[in-house]
Amino acid sequence: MNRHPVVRKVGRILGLALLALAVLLVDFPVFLVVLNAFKSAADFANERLLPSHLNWENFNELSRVPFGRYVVNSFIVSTGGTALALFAAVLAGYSLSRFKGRGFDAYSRLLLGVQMVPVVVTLLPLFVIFKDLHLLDSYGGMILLYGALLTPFATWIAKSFFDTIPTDLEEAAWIDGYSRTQTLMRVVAPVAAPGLVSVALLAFITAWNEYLLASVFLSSINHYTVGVGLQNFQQQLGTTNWGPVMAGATIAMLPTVGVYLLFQRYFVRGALAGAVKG
Amino acid sequence: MAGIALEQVKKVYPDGTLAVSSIDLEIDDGQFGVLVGPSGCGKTTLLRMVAGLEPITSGEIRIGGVDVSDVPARDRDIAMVFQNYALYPHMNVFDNMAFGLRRRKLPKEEITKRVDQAARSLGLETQLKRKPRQLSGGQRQRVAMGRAIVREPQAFLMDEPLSNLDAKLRAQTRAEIARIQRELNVTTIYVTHDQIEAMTLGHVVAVMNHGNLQQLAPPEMLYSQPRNVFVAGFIGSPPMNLIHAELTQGDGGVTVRFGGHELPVPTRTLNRFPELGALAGRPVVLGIRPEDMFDPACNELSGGETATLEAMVDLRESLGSVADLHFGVDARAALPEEFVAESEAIEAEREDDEVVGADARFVARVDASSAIRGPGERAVLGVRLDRLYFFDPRSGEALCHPSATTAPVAAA
Repeated sequence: MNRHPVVRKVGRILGLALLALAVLLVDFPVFLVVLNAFKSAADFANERLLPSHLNWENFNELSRVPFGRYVVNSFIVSTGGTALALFAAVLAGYSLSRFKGRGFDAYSRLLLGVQMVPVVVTLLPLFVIFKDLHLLDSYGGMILLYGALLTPFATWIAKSFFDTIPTDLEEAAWIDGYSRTQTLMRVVAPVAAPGLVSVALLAFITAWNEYLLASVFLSSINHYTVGVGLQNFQQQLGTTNWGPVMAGATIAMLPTVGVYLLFQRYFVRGALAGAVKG
Repeated sequence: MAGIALEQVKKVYPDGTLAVSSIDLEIDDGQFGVLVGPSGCGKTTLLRMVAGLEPITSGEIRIGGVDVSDVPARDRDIAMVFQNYALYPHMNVFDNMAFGLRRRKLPKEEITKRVDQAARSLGLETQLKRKPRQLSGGQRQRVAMGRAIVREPQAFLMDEPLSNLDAKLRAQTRAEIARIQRELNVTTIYVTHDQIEAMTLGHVVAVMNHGNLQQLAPPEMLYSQPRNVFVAGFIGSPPMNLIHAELTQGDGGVTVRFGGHELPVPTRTLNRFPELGALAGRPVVLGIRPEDMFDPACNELSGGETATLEAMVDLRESLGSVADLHFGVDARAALPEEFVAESEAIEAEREDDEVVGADARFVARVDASSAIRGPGERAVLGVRLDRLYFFDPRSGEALCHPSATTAPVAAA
């Protein structure tokens, strides 16, 4: 198309403006949280949209609760759950990708089926089981829960990555003298590494942001994750004092935002993995 | 190093498809064996069964006299070159070649020594630190070869290793593979659909079709003494002209007629194959190689009986030293598919309406100096009568083939 340069430029600016508007709408709550984190009590009282000055007071307020502890807890259970899910996803995803049979079909349908059951439905039975197993209010219990929660989708994405790896590569390794397991560890997984990294990142962020399970299964303040801790903090502060909670939420967002910024290209690949081959 | 023997090897897929039916095959120690056939003939399946990548349904595979039918691929001590090379993308060239040696726990110095030596012989010395994706197609192919060489295995298995290279590189690499195999003297099985590769590389060539072994013979013999219509049509380029004809007993001896043409069958041929004379009055399949026809105007023929036939040339393809003349013959072409025995047919698509046509296409390869230009030119072409091939019209088996002594030097 051979349009006038000015027309083209205007079109481009219009497009960008539309995109900016979309970003503003979608991310408005996020912006609000960050802005509120820097507002003083007076700013809140005057219903100002922007903070009058950069006010760090809210962040200091966080020292009233073991906020650092919450962050560490979140990190432990998210990392543990991710590791567990990734381990299962590599083995299961590889198997689903390479073996055919009724058992494998059934398993892959089961994975899909499990995804359709709302977590809320499973809460009560899970609670009873975890109580009997003495897994309530423990890191181990949370890691197990997150591992189970993340495994189905991690398996699906891992499978679609393994699907793209030619079987010739494995056969070459077998002929070079390696067993199937050795081949998986030394050839298939390294080649699929970019995909597996994106699986891990998606899993980690999902676990980091999880609130419902943590709020039900964690009862002592020492085990609280960031989400549960903030909720608890908000109740302590009452309904008018928003600043400190917003400060906490801002900090809680940092790992997610950081991971997204650092690994953008992996996320795109991970999101597309199921859609297109190659 | 060891010979490879296949005994009654059969492959039936779970869905009932017969991929390879009861093949007996023997490649002696140090020999270069080629499996050749059209796509889907089972040659790759057969190779993968030798490699241990595909379980066999029945039969026995022996490497160096040891039955390896149930031995997994990793313990067969064979090396394989894959069609797409299957280089490990996350390792550099050195590690790609060393990967199999590390598994065998060879000392580090030995690994380095072997890889360096192979790299030198393949001209890859400067590429050792590079990843496969940084290499050209030809270099990747050589790395795949190197990976096989350093292993010093009992046998090399190669699955169409040249099919991803351009024509010039393919000819070069073909010569290279022949050289390496000769130097290392390792038993080799090489799969290809390209009959030129088969003819130039193989000590013995196994021609396959529809999962069956058609003929196992040295290349010259496949060319001069094809066992059936399929081999006759497959080996040689351009392919042999094959046509339904009739043997008749005339006053001057036995002749073969097809589409208004009549060629005398030499007495010498009849003496060597007395059965042929007994078939007078019966249909046969006649085979004439394009290179056994000539332009009488420019060829001085030394010995051998010849005859001529008139043809309406409709296309001339000049190839520099020779030219191919295409013309129609008013008779029914003999297609290899007609002769697949019903019991062995693997979904042989026999569409009878397709073969009733009586407009066979012939190709004659003549000297480039020939003045026959076409199209639409009526020309007189010579035929070397002692080079005629005859086949049974029902089974497609050879009835008679030219004596080897009169075979031209060039095979393809």
